Amino acid sequence: MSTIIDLVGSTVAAGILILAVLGLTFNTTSTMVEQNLSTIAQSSALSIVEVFDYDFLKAGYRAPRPAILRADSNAITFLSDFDRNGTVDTVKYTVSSASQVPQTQNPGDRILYRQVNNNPTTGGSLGVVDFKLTYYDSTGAVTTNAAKVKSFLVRLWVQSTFKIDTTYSQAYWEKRYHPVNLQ
Amino acid sequence: MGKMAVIVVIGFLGILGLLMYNMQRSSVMATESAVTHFEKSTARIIAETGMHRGWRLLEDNDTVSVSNASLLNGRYSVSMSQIATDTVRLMSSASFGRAADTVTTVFFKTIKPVPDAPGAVSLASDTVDVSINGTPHRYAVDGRDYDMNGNLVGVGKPGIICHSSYDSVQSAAYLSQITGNPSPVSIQSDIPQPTSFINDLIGNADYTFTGDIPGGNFGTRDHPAIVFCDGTGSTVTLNGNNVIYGIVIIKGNVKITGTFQFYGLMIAYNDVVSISVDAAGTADMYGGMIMAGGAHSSFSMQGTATFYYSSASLSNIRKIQRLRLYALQDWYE
Repeated sequence: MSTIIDLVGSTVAAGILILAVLGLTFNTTSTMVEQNLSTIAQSSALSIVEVFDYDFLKAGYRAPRPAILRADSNAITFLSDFDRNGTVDTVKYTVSSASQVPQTQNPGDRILYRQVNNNPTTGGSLGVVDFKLTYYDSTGAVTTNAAKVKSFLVRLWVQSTFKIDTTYSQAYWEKRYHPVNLQ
Repeated sequence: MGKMAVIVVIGFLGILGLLMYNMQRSSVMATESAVTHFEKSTARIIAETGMHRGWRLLEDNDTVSVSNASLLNGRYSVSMSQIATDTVRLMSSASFGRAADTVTTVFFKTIKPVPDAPGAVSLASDTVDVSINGTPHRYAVDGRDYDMNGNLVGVGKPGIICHSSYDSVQSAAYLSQITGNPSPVSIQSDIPQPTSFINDLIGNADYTFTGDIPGGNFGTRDHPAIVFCDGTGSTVTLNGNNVIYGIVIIKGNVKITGTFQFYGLMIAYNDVVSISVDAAGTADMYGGMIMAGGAHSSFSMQGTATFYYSSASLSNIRKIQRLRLYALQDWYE
């Protein structure tokens, strides 16, 4: 009789232990996936930022004035001989509408386009959900006049392309650029 | 049964270990990504700061050489190369952690703005009382171009530039003692008013006096200086032996009675200005002089003193250290 009780007791104990471990595994896996997606969002943002730094800090380099040709809230076009080959290049940044990236689960992500001169437009989703620019003149006041732009604030929102539970992992980045050649 | 339990426990431990490892790896990746960006950003900041330091050194010393300097736990070096007579290229290379960055710039050498002397003597005032009674055998005001050794080298400019025809007539009464090209006396309504330049020049003065300018030498041919004397409400007297290279700015009346050798630009200004060179004075002034005062300011010369126009002496003020300026032409990072 006592052997039967031992067997039933140990089976129940083992079951509880297995359920606890399975629960822990499930939660840990969920956290891990969330962290991975967050890491991917951050890495995507930083990859884009590297390109921003490379391009925006060179705005106006060996270029005629005004060097900023377009100053919209979600698009910028500027002149720069950014590859130092003696020819002034035109660099454009624009962002697509959300509907142009149907293949991802995230309904809000867009494509951030970069175009140099008349070369083919490049860009990928990378989870960009918004890209905003604010422009400032020599007094530090906000301006929409491209010819008066001396500095500009770039804000970037990146989200994971897949959601965990009901939310998407998000990374936000902003930087105000003061290209020396525009001063 | 016992063995089975051990195997099950070890199995669970293995799964848990794997999950923990993946979480750790994911965390390390996120940290590495952030650290790499931080290193790149910091390297860029160090390179930019190094370039700004190089710019300052360039303005102070005309040359730059910074090797392996330390900043924010990183290192930077700045080097200079001359790419034209007045143009230099600076390169600032920085490293921080595993990241490196370089900033390259081009600077054009110039000086802060100074008024242009359109003649040997420029009277930027209305109704100036002119009196020139010097030694008859030589000119008191000579607008022909002289070098800094007193040799006649070029056509030059008018001897006296006046603001109006009234002043022109005043000066023309002494034509025997004035010469210049294309004429001894000329009218120019837009003679540079020193007021727009004066505060910056005074702010950069190497020597500042109140009352009189004492005897002595100020500046040299290779290192000209700015001398400012505030004689507001009185007369600044130069009665010692002076040799001055550079820019002399006098606020108030000026009286030259000593042995005075001057090479550069002289500016006398006030509400009403009186400039007089005494009969006892033996002054040779090469360059240009601008007088800016109110109506009925006066300009009188006696003795053997002469104002010579000298483009070389005026160009020499470009060497004044405190006026030196390196203008940024382009910046690449």
